[in-house]
Amino acid sequence: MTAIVQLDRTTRRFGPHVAVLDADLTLGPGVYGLLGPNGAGKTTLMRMMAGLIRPTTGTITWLGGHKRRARELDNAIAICPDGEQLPPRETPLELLTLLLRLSGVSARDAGERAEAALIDLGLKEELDRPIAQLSRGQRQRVKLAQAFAIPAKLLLLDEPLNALDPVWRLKVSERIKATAGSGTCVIVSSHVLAEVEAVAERLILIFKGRIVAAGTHLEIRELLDERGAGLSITATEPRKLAAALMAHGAVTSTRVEDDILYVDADDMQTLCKALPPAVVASKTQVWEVRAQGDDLVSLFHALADEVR
Amino acid sequence: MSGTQQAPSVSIAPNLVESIGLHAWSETRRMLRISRQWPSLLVVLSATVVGAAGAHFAPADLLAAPDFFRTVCLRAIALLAIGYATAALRADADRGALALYLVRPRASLALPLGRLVATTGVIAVTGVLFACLLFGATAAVAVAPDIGHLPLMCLAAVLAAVGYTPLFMAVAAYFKRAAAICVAWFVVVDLMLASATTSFATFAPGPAVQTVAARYPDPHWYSDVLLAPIGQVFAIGAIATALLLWKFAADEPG
Repeated sequence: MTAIVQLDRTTRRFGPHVAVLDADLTLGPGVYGLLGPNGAGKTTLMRMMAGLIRPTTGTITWLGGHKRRARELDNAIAICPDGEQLPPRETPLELLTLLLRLSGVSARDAGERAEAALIDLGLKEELDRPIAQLSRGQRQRVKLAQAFAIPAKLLLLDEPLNALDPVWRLKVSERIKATAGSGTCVIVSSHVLAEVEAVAERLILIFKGRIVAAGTHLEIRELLDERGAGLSITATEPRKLAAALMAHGAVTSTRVEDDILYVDADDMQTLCKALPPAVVASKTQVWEVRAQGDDLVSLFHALADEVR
Repeated sequence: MSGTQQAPSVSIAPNLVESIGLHAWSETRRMLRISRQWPSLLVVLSATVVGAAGAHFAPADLLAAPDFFRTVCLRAIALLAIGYATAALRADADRGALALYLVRPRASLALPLGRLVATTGVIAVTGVLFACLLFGATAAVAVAPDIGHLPLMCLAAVLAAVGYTPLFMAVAAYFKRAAAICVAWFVVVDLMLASATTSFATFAPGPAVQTVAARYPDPHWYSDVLLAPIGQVFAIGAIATALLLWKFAADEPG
């Protein structure tokens, strides 16, 4: 994998507060979801990857060789910061033209490029309206337009889907994937797991400044499997079924709440194999079987518990 | 929405000077919009009318225009500087609206310096316009004062912009209620304390600017007497600019 940005034992402190601790990451082209609760260190990590703040210790390497944020990298890194506020008196076209010029787009092309980027994000009618008159969703799209308008190798999007309606969430998600498909490393930060799951190929989970897990969906899934498995079973005779499963030796614990049987096991495969004979043996009817903890939410909570 | 677009022609990103120029040009355009210009227009028009009227009622007073400029107009320029300098930073900072600029490299220097250059320039031009209109109006309705006063009045206007603008922008960078603090500082330090004791005059542009405007034009008007207040104003401006940049440079890119 061609590394676009590489972090080597990177730590950032703000006085006594450790915002990011010993981050080790090597990121190439693709979409990465940076997940963590508020205050986990996502924004600090992204600002370090953008070269906007220095790490206290450790190193960051961009595009295979640059150890410092050199001028040559200015066009290669784009960022959409969190927060919805923009200069209220500017128009979107004026703002984007200036931002593109500050990013190295020629004066001749900046206006045209800004207009195209804004129209691409559905802001044709708002090009010359003061930003103060735009809705929250429109302002978010202005922010995204300035990030997408730069042909960057590293694109950092901090909470990009905030304030967008479902239609634009889908369109922006598609745009993120298309940008990554052209060889860009796109990092999408969010505290909403479902958003990131939908768009990212790889996930980075951060909690209290520490990267607690990183990998593809499959690798994260393996982490889930390592944590054991659980099922909730709605059945006519849950206690009989529990006894049958225990007798089979496939479960580690069972409990019944509101006539629903909850079972925990070391291994999901063994549990699933044991379930049909246990149902037959207990002569019970099963209405519903649901996997417990088989999602990123529970994984995140479990990993966060380990750090705590 | 299309996922692929033709790549724009991107050259190397602008250096610090170019970035300052881009920020300055953007801020100047923003300031020169008519909706934001009403304070300067009001000040220029009212001062010109008042000055012309004053000259009309005292036609023999050759110093009517320079005195009026010194005692009224320079202070109006200071108040104008408070309005523009605090608006240039504080309003956007309070809204968090500087974030998009500050994620650009070198923005922590280019943004404040660009806005400082633009604001100083607009206030200086307004002050010079002020002096020229006042002088012209006086000349039109009364005995024209010595033409030598005009460059001194213009110089005083430029110095007022150079001294006051960075000072008030620095205050705006550090404090939320910047406009109120600037007005209080102007009244207490610049008007009251500086006129009472000479030591406070060192920290205020007002007395130095007043000294320049009060000089009677003669062949030696560029002598040390004039250079000292000019140096003082530039020193105040430089210190204030350094404080302004210090505030923004806390997280300079590595």
